[in-house]
Amino acid sequence: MKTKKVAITGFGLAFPGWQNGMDSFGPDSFGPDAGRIASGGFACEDILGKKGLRYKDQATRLALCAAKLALAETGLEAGAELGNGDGFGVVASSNFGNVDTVCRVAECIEAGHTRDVSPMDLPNASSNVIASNLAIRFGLRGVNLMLCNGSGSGTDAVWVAANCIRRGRADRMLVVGVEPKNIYVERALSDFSDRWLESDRAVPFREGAAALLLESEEAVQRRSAKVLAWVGAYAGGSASMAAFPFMGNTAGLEGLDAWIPPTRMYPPLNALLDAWELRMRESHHGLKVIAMEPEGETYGTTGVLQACLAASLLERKKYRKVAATSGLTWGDRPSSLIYSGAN
Amino acid sequence: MTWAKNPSLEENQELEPMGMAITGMGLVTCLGKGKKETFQALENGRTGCGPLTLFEPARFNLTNAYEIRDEAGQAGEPSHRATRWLLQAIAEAVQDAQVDLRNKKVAVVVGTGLRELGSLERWSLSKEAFAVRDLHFGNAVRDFLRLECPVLTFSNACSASNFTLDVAEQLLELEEADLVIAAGTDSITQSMLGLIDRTNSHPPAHLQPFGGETKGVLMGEGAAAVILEKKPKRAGSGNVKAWIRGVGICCDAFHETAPEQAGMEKAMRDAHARSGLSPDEVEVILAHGTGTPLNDGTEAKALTGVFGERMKTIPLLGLKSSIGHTSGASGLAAVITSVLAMDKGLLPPTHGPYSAMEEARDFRIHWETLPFEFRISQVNAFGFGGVNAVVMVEKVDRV
Repeated sequence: MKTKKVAITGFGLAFPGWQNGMDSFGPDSFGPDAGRIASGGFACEDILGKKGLRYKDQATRLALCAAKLALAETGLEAGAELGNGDGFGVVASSNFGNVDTVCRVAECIEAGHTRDVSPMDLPNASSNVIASNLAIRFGLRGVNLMLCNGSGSGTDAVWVAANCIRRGRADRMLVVGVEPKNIYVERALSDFSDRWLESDRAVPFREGAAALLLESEEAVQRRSAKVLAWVGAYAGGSASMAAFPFMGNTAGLEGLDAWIPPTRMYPPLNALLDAWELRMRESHHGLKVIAMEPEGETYGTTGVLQACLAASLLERKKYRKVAATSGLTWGDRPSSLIYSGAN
Repeated sequence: MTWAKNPSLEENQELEPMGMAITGMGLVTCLGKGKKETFQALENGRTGCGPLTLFEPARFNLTNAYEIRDEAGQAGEPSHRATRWLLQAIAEAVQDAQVDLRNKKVAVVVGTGLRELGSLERWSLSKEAFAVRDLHFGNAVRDFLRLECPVLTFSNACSASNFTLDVAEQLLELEEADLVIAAGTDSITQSMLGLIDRTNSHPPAHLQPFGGETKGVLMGEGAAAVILEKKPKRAGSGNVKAWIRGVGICCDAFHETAPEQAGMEKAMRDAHARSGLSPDEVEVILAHGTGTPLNDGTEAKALTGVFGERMKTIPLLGLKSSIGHTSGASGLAAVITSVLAMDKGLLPPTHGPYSAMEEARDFRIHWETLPFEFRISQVNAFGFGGVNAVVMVEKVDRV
């Protein structure tokens, strides 16, 4: 069988507390189309309906919201187009997804006995609850993967999902990155903020979910869908300058005119990012570096959010080819993907 | 970072039919800190079931678990258990493969149910310092191997390590890696142990796959790792221990914790189809068999649905009876057990005896070591969320 091209055909975002005018990077960065984005104050029930949300944790709720927006926008949400969902898979990315349940239940037992815990917490104790809920809610019966891979996890998720389509494991993949914010997340962030921020401020955190829809070229043609962008090559696993990937004559990078780098939030990383930016600009004349700073760490969501931004920019023909790099936060290794516009 | 070997591979390239070669294996369980030790204990009919020592027993109804214990018979060091054994299993596998990783384009894929949440729990209880970056295994693995390579940590519940084989195959097929270390690891966490305890009113003393009387799962701990490469072009070349013929995958999209018979059957048939095998060619089945009526009853019906009357004659091994439910490690632990069994021409017993549930009444479960030559086995793994992954293993005749 032949490898298949992978298209981005839709995306959806759910970021509570995110507003235009407040952040340098906000919903406005995605253009005038508001349909795909839930921001500011919104209730998950308004997007998903009331049914079936009662025991879902915050990460699962946000993931479902973003996915619903992505699927609704592309008209793929149910019905004949979806069929029985066999060729439609899921990759979810989250690190903090269920830590609130895990810590709360452990503390409850420590203070007493297992009879004191609620059995309704069992599903949320399994770290893949986000991925399985996406499958259940939308009837997606293909490969189902939950990636908890640190700060590059979102990019890695897009990569793995694209590979599933490339080799024929799926025709369509839903990729969702999500991180919740709660007292355990805040405590974890403040525990090592001094090392990473070189101050005693807590690391600011932006909770939210980003969903991306990937389809094979044939699936796109079958329903005459609009291609926002194509998913290209991946590089990951090393921060070494010697293995720096963006040198001009590397195949797949011709015509690169934009780069979304990792966050500039951490002073210890800025020297490395400065060096990368310099090399990038040298290798690609006229390169635009697009700072995506959602006023807080987005951790496992970042790579998917970057993909959504890249897709949006390419759809609006702002650029021809966009590279995006996530990872590096707290000592992880970077992951990068290339996205190119549909001509 | 280096780009994929052939970035234009995305453009309509012909892919070779796959299957993967296992060139090295490593295994850490409550029965032994290496694959030989574990298999010898299995062959001797031993079980690793014992009293719970990792947590305060007075807080639980259950009394037993399949903990990895130290010389004093206690759970020992509570911190970073899953990470520690993962590295041990990987070390054994790399040693077994006799390979210099620096000459290869390597990726590591780790399947886990609970990642390093055990240490996160201890942090939340103020028992130890913990960095969030250690929740996933990437940094520990890269530091240990001294390799700058992609490491992917998948939290795919009880079928996680079987899923890693599908991801490994993806990376090899698309030439994103020359060599993939696929691994699984899990330790027992207080929250998962506690929630299982809370939802089973009569916890068993032992885990009895397809058991009729005592019902329920008991948690185990362990790690397993295999070194995977593309099938060599010439037969007999390379240090091949066994073949992975194919991996069947699907998601029930049905329930967060309950399994679905149709989904289990679909994964099995997908595994057979991808492997170019008919159900008649399957000679041994290593069941998922968790000891819960829900999984085991559904799995028994699914097996009967696929294999029919042959379920009376195909030997069925319930490995969890001996090593407990090792969650993310369980799929690969069974794959490795199968390879060792193929090499030795014998099947270790399911730890018992006990009477089987109605749905499995006619299954061929053996309570003593069984001399048995076989070439093709099936390893089932079904996880919370309806994530199903079934692996077909084939014997390699060793020189």
